Amino acid sequence: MVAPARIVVTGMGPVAPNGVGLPAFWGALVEGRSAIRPVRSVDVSRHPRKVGGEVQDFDPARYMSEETAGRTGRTSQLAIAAGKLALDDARFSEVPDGAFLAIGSTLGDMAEVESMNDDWLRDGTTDPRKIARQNAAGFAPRISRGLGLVGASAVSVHAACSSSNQAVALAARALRDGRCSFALAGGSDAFSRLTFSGFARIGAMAPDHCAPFDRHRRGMLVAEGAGMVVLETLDAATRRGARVYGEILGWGLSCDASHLASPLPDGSALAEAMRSAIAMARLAPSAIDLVGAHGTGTIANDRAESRALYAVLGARAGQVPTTSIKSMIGHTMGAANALQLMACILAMRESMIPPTIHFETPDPDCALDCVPNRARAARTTRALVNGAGFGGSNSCLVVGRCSP
Amino acid sequence: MLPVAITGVGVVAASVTTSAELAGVPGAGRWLVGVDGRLDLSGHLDALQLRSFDRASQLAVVAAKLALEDAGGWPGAPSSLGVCLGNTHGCLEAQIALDRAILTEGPQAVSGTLFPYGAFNAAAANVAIVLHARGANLTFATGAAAGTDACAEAARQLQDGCVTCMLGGGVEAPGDAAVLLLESRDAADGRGARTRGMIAGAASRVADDDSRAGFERAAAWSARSALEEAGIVAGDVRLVVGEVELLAKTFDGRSVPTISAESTFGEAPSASGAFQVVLAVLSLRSPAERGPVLCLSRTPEGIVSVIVVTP
Repeated sequence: MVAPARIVVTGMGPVAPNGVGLPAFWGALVEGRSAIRPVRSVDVSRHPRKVGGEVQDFDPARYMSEETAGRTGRTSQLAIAAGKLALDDARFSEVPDGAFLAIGSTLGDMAEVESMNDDWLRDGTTDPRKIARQNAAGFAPRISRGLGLVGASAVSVHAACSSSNQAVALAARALRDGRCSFALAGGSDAFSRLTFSGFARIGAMAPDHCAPFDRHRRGMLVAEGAGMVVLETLDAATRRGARVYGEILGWGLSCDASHLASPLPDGSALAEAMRSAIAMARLAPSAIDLVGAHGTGTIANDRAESRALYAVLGARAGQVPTTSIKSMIGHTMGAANALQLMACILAMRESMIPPTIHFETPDPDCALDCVPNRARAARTTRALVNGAGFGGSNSCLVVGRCSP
Repeated sequence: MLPVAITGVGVVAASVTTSAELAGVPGAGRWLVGVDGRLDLSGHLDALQLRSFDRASQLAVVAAKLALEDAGGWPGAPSSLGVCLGNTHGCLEAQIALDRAILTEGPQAVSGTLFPYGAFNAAAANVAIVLHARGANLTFATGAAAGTDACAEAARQLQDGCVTCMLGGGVEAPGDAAVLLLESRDAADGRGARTRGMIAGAASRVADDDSRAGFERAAAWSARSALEEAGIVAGDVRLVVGEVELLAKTFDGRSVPTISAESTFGEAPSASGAFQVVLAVLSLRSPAERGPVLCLSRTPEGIVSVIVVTP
């Protein structure tokens, strides 16, 4: 029996509220710098909440032609930018034909829907260009063509805030099965007034800062961003002398099958996804020495995730470093898992774990080592990256360290 | 791809052009077809589901329940049943309505109950909630290719081994959904399930441009890859469901019988790929016509997806 191909990460493209591109993103994470600011892209004057995580000074013209930018909504623009950064980071001498693109999103180009509604309210008109830009059916091909991929397969996969882990899993499997030459996977969501209003309305949003796993945490903060990674087989990466950041060792998907907006309180389905990912990686739970938490900062999510971690890792769950970058950048929705994945890969590579900031008071219900407030120098080798979203969708990855 | 058995078929359609021949005949699966365009779901959903689910969720749940009924139920554990649906436009109505409420009445007017319906995966999630399906739950939004992509992904999920049974299909509000129950051949045989057909291969490609030639190249590549995965050649294909005109090179000028989902069900983008697979399964009921079926979906936005169904 032939061993399945090993899948490695050879390029990463973060477009995040705390920085665009790896150096800015990683530097801000290690410094524990908050990217939460007063919201500018949405009128929040009538909202009780005023802050969020927006990608600052994003200029689509740096990543695509003016024509492409003009017929592309912001969620797609962010995704194209992330894909371009990832491809540049992978340093292909020539981007191969036959890619597999998997892009996740919670709401797609929702900002275009909102812009159409603005028109509707103002004068009852509908701009056909906005209809085209919001068209979800065009999301994946728009990004594929925007990146100039040739002979590519492309899917958009939607599992709310666990979308980009799903996308990475699908892409890794396509590579493993020999259905593509390389893969690009991740997720994207732009800031939208629906997201901002909706999370405020269901009482999930914190007033000013996000404090995952803290006893006095008050919720999540809405953010935007995109994250894409380049995946190749280890053989292909080695042949071309590529820099290998890390290895995708396993993935697991599950569903709470319980509630559209609230997690299963005991975390049992999330635990099942973790177990599946660890089993696919052919590891024992004891091999996991880093957790990239979903860590939204809501009472219910953090408690459920903590219970799931204890169910899978046992008493060790309290000692394994468990970091949530949402404390610094907010919840980037469809991009959240991909950005957390990059943070974990870099943490292993640089032997430095980004912190969970705003942590003050331990919560007995979330008795985790969340790497409070300051980055920690530590060598880690096997990370579990968690994703959970509306609809009870859970997706987990296990990623391994590769030596620089 | 390991050949994956189709053991249940559930169809919900506002109208079909040939209902007398299709619905209700042995082996056709369970169908719920509207009368004079009116579709009554009340016999299949409880009062809460009728009141609180969005239309896409209602259609998907009914189609999934019909597929399970057709397969004689699912005796496995909840964690071994997953869901993969195509649903591209089902959330748009909620997105528009929720945002208009913000604009006209203020942010406090957003309904916390309706808010999750703005996400693409609400229908698949509600199927999981109703059926207690705790396996993988995925949603594709690739327009007219979404049902094809979802059925293909459902089959691939079975290969990963984390689930033993998947519901795969597509939904398009206000009146169409098709869901198939898929399981490994061994699992189906093991429980004595009736196999309606097998999903044996699938592939998808984005046309490099919007030209006719671009779509033909994407179709030829997708067909070749899907047939290779199925271990068959183009000459074996007995029927094409979809635009055979894009496959002239694949069939080297050979005339292949062709049908379309649209001519039976009308336009139902995210459900159409699943409807194609249903029609493929139906074609396999005829001993004289039993042979591989190639289903091809094409989106105006550039995706060409192919799935191969074999006896």
